[in-house]
Formats: sequence, C-alpha cells, structure tokens
Amino acid sequence: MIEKGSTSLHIGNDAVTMAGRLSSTLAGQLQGLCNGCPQLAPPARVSVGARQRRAQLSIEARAHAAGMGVWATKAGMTQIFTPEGLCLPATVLALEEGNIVTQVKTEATDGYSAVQVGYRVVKEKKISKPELNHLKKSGAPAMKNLKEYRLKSVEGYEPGQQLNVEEIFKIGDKVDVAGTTNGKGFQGAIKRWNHHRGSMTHGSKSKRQHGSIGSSATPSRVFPGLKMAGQMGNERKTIKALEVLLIDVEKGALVVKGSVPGKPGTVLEITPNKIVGTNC
Amino acid sequence: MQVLEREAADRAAAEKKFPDFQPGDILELKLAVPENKRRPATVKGLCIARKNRSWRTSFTILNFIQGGGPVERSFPLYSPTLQSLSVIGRRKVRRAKLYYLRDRKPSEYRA
Repeated sequence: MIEKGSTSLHIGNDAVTMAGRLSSTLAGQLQGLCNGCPQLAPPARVSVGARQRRAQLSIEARAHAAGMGVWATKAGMTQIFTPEGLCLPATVLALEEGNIVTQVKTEATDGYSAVQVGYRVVKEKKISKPELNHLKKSGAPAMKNLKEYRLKSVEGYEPGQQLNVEEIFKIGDKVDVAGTTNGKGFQGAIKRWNHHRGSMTHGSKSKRQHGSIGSSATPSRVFPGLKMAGQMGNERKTIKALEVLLIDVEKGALVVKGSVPGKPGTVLEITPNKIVGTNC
Repeated sequence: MQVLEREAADRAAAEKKFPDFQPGDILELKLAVPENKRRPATVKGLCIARKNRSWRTSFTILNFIQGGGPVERSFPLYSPTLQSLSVIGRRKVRRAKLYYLRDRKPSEYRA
C-alpha cells in the first residue's frame, strides 16, 4: 500500500505477495541454474511470469468527489456588477424540487462510502417501478435523476434528507459544473476541430475538406483518434473552477461566474472544485 | 431567472432614477473612475442606440472630441460606475439606431 497525502493507491495484498513469491522462486531456480553452469548468462527478464499473472489493481486515488454536490437546472445567463464596476458574465442555476438524499452507502454495507442524491420530482408513473421502490425505501418522492457522490465520510447524511445548498457552497467557492453540451450534429473538421479552410478560389478543390490523414505504405493505416468530421456536442462535459457569485435558497438560485454546458432546462451536477492530489 | 433579473432591475431603477431617454438625445454622464479615486468624470455625447434588455440594458453614445477624433462608447445602464445621467438636448431622428452617423461629418453628431 502506497500512501501519499490524501491520495492513496491500494494494491491487492494477496496478489502482490503471490507475484513476489513467484518471482523469488523463479529467481532461485535461475540462480541454481547459473551456479550449475557459470558460463551461462543470466536471463535479462526474470519477472516475465510475474508480469503475466499481474493481479487486478484497485486504484482509489481520484475516485472520490471533492465534496458533496447538488443538482441544478440551467436557467440562463445574465450579468452581475462588482462594487468596483466590473461586469461579470453569470449563469443562473435554478434549484428545483429535489436534491434529496436517497441512499447512504457505507463501507460495511456496500464496500465503499457514498451518498446518493435524487433530483427533479416527477409523477410516480414517470419512473420505473424498481426505481420507485428504491426511492420509497428512503421515503423520498419519485425523482428522475439520481447520482451518487463517493465521499470519505458520510457522517451527517440520512436517507430522505433535503440538502441545503447554503451549507454546501459559500459565495466565492470554486465549483465544477457537469452536464450535456448542446448537440451540434455531424460537423466537419473546420467547425469541430477549428481546422483551417482551403482556398475557395484559384481552382482549389479542397474548400472545407480536412487535409491529409496520414502517410502511405508505412504505416498503411490511419492512426486512432485522428481529428475528422463527426458528431459534435451532445456529450458530457465538465466546466471546472467556476466561482459562486450568489446563493439564494428562497428563490432557488445559484449563480456562478461564466458559462456552463447546455441550454436553459439542462440538468447539471454541481460539485466542489476537484483538484486531483489535494482534495480528492 | 427572470424573477432575479427583474428584481435587480427594479432595485437599481429605484436607486438611480435615471430620466427616460431615447436615441437622438444628447446625454451627459458622470462616471466614477476607479483609477482616479472614484472621482467623477463627465462624458457627453449623442445617444445613437439603446438596447432594452431589462437588467442588461445598455446604450451607446457618440461624440467628436476636438483634436482627438470620433469617440463611441457603450455603457450598461445599471453599471455602478455610472453615477448620474441627464438629458441636455434632443435631436429630431427617424431611426431607433443611428449608426449611420458614424459615416457622416462630425458636425452632424458633435454634442
């Protein structure tokens, strides 16, 4: 087990000892062999066997959320003035009915600790019966969206509890906002990857085409991940480190600086800013 | 969100009490300048556009400064740097946006 600060890397102990034993026995045998015939050079790769039987790694670093998060709905953008007269772009996130804890997972019951939160209260017939009964266990109403946040400690969270945004975020905090971006359909390389356009005149035959996609006989294939035309948008994106400008629980508004994915009505997940290596 | 914006606009409007103005009016503004210990600077000009967007309402003024050339500046109406606004003259206009004045002689829009 390697531990450094708050990040931790757990390797299955059994596997490590097993691999260790294997390599040591192998090494012993090889040692014996070499002793028998000293002119034989020792093989360079002793740990081949160990590598082949490498155990499964379970890495816990980065898996945790930086803190408890909430759901919100994008309402639209506006501007906010600072006392110095600066005009800041701001996005209003509406806190609709929901943000209710639906399940608390602990090390004892589930093998890891997490808090599951539901959002968007709907009619009971709008969700499936298994989902409905799962929610009924915690006494929560029927909700459309569920998400769990892996936390190091789940103390203070009870199933059926209504989350208070004011307790989770303070004005000036940095938050990460995740959601589905506006779908733009099948787009060319110019719009999708900001490629340059070819000449529109002078007999040019590559006006909006992407350029060359690689070499010839070597490697006689196209490298994976090459930037080409395709579906743009309508994918999950996280905008990091947005500043909280205003919290108004009575009106159900959380205002952050800058823009967030989606359009008015998009359901978003708001979590404290995650900085890998420091707070998760 | 509309509620928030409307409230902010109402609050600001109640605080500041700007006169109603429209394109074609000659405006005199007093701006707080942060670089100069928030002392007010006076800016004059002909209003050539007003963009009504509730809390995000803004307007544009155009003027010609002797030895400096044409000056066009846009202001958010509810900016805290805008301390006062007064209408000091009016020009007869038949457009809502007077962008054509940019191409005219300075004598036509000098305030």
